[in-house]
Amino acid sequence: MKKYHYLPLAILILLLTACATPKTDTEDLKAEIKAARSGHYGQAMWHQEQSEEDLETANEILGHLEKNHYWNINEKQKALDAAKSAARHRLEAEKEMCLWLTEVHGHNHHKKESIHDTVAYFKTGSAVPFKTKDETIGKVGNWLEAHPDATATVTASTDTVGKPAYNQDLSERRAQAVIQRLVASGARPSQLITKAIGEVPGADNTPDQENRVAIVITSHPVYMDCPNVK
Amino acid sequence: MSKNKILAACILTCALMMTSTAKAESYFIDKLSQGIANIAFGFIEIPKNVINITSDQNIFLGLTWGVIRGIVHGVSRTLVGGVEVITSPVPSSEFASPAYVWNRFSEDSRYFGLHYPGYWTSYGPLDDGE
Repeated sequence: MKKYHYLPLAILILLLTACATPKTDTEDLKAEIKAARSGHYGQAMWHQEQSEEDLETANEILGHLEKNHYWNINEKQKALDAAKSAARHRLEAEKEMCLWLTEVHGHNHHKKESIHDTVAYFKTGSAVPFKTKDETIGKVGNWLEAHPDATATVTASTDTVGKPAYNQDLSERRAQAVIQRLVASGARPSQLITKAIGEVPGADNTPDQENRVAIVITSHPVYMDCPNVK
Repeated sequence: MSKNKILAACILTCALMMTSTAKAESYFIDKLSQGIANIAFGFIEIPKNVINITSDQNIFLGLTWGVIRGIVHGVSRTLVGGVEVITSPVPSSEFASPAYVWNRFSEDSRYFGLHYPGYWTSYGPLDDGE
């Protein structure tokens, strides 16, 4: 008797298995779709598309409101949300585009703009420069203002006249004198690194103008396009 | 004045209005077609109200309040359709909005700018406002 039950059951299972719709593997397609929008450029495109879709919605509803259509549905809030979302996506698209720009041509920028120059000369024992290179200081100040991610190192030193401790303090004041001028030209204090090295090694108690100086060295470790897009 | 003369005066007036400009002709055709459509399909207000109220609230309200509202709207649209046919030679703004019952299916109908209470406030399943 049992075999008469098992046989139809087996046939039924076989039929059901045959009827089951085989599921197509879509993982590779999903990966390709994801790849099409990967990276900064792909993300910029995606955000731009989203922004356009949102704007379309907002404009559509604007048309309704102007013609007094769909009066029974509060569409205005939806339109406002869509317009705000469009603006957000536009900003994100712009940011991604800037990152892409940095990615593709950042290495060409500002390499030649790094500066290593003596900008201030001091008399023995003085922290007030008798001669400064104002043009260089102005240029570095403006450049630092335009590139918030950039930094500059101010290195100041003294000759061997006087006591080492006094000369250490003197070199710090000399560096500060240059920093004040850089800040006045647009640099942010956070961008400036002070390096007061005190006495430059040499024969004791020997005046040397070459060592009574302050040097500015700019560096630009991370280049970034559109730093003001936030 | 005999009835015939009054009728003749009406027909003449209508004819003059109809033939005045091409724009007036367009008005006439639009209004006439809207009137005929509203008379013929005014009853579609019933499923429209049922569907939209069910979607906005629930099936119970859809089948009760929706049917009542749909009947009132259906009668209104049919009557307005008749008025549109009668006054079709006279240019005017649309009497019913939406002009045809199948237009903007999620929009609650209004006649002469007036609406009935108890309307739905969201898009229905047959029209998402696009």
